Amino acid sequence: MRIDKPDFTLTGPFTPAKDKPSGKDGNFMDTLKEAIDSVNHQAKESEQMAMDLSSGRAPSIHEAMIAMQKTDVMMRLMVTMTNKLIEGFNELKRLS
Amino acid sequence: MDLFTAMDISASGLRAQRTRMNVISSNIANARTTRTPGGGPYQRRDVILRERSFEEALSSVDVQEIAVNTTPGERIYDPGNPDADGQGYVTMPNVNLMEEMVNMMNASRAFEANTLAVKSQKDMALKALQIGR
Repeated sequence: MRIDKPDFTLTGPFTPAKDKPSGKDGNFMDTLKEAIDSVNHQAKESEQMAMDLSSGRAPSIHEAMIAMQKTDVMMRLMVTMTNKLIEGFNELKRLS
Repeated sequence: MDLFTAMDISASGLRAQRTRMNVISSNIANARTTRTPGGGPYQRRDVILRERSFEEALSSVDVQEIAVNTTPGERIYDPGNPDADGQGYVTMPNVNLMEEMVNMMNASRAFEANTLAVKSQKDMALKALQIGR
């Protein structure tokens, strides 16, 4: 079996995060808000799918399940980030 | 190539296998159907899958079409049947139940494989969240 060298370069995950324009002026709060908004959007979508599924309108079970799994992972990521943030804040408070 | 690319690709696989399952159900249900709107016995359907480029080098799967298999079906002698021809033979659908069963197992295993891919994708994401705990 011959394996060709992929003709694309991996960019996404390896670019430093600070290059990304996030929020209005790269404010940390805006970034966090954006993240929370996207999680919220995903959660709404999966909730809608669950509603459709229980009322018999959903096109497929697996799409609803996958949407829920995505929401689950995103929610956990958000909670982890928030916890870290609060941890850092507490650390700052203890400085005085 | 974000966090959920693999999940979206697996979702397309699940969709394709579900379509295959639907078509197989239709074939099995109509294994003895001798009347169709187009006239003649039921003809078995096959799902033709096609690659769809997803992102960079990745591709998901798409249902290209549901093709009608036109090989002639078995002719059985049944003169009492209203669909029998002049010599008393009835043309049955070209559905082979054993073949359909094998296809069904195939589709259901492939579906299972795709669900496992989704699950392990999620496990990987959760493992990544445990870094630094």
